[in-house]
Amino acid sequence: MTENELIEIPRVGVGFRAPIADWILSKPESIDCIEVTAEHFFDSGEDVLCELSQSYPLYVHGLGLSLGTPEPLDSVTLRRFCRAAEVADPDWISEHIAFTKSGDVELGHLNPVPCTARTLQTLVDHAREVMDLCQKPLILENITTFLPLPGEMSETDFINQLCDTSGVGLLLDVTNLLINSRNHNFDPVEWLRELNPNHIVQLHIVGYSVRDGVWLDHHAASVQDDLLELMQEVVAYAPVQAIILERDAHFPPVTEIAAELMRLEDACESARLR
Amino acid sequence: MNPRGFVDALTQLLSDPTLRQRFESDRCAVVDELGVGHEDAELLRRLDSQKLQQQAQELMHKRQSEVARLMPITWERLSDDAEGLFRDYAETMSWPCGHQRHLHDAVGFCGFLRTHTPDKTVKSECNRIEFKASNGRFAIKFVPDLLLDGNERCGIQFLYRNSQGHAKQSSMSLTAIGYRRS
Repeated sequence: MTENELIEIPRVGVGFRAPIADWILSKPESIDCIEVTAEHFFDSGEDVLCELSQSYPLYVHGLGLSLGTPEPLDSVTLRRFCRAAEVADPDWISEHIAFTKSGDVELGHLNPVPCTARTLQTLVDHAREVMDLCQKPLILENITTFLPLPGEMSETDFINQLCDTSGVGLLLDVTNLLINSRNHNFDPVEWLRELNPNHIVQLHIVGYSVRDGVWLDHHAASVQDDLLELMQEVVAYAPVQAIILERDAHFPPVTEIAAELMRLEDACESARLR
Repeated sequence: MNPRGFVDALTQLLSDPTLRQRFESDRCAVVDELGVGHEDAELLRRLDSQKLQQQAQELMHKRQSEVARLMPITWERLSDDAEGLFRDYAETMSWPCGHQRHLHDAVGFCGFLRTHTPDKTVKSECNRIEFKASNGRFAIKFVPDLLLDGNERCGIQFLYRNSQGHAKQSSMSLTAIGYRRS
């Protein structure tokens, strides 16, 4: 790379949450982009979505579509999700490679799906339905799990096939990858290199927690050094376009969040200079 | 009748502690009972029951964290009893559905506390949560436990919705106008 050549680094931003909403709406320089959670805007807040849309590149993230459930998608939830996407006019929308419910039983949070051909077809069908209705590119996120499921293919093969077949991209949660690698004893960099780098569009990152030797995704801590190093591996490996700091609890002062965003940006720059 | 699918069977196992216990002791019988197809039965038989339990516990922990976040004053007051009380509540009440499930769960927990430990219920916080979960536009409540300047006081809660539909609260301490709790 020559001295004058510009390097392209991902946008770095935060998840829109009530405790830091005023700060985000004040448009600080440290925020390049914003991710909103669709469900937070199902009942109200379209004016806020419009304001954010005019101020930042925006991404709409879903939690409750349960794309991995082999049943028709819940039409009310899907319609509301698409409405949020319509108002926000995001660059892309996102959901999870997971299920949260089946029949009338709600599990409340994300659970793993088996890496089988049938599950793949369910996710492909549901992903296409969401993209068709919302008319936006869709990216899907890897989750953490304590329960590794038996399947017919590796998780990375499953993700590659899912992206190739349905046209979705990958929202790679770096924290989830690191946590799974620690809890299930595998090498996260090897796992990463089994993925087609061109599928990776966006990253999530937030500090992990450890309790009784178990690694947890409680979204309540600052990004640790080993996590930052893994993020750099990803940024060096793939044409990542955006990184979202996904803090949900124990919010520090906004000056600390701004400093963390700067740290992520610096880490991206040095990763792309490698 | 179509056989139950893997995801549906896993949902049953993750949501039912008794079924999980039986799965641990006799997984073949439980898999047969769940009525899944041949391929899915094979996958289910290969599940690690300890990790299945860990996944279910983490779901419960996340459920509890969401409620604790919505009612921090109550959680602090319950202190070491909070987790046990929430577990007791959750055993009687499955996770509500929909995007407001955490809020409705908090409303359910408030109801549980009122019945089981009324002295530890923070009325002002429960009022606020119940109003938020309702369709109400305005409510006035007399409460003995408003948290003002770090102290609990008798007072009046004014609960209302702003023009965007967000639930808001104003409050007034009755001690400020000469009222003293007897």
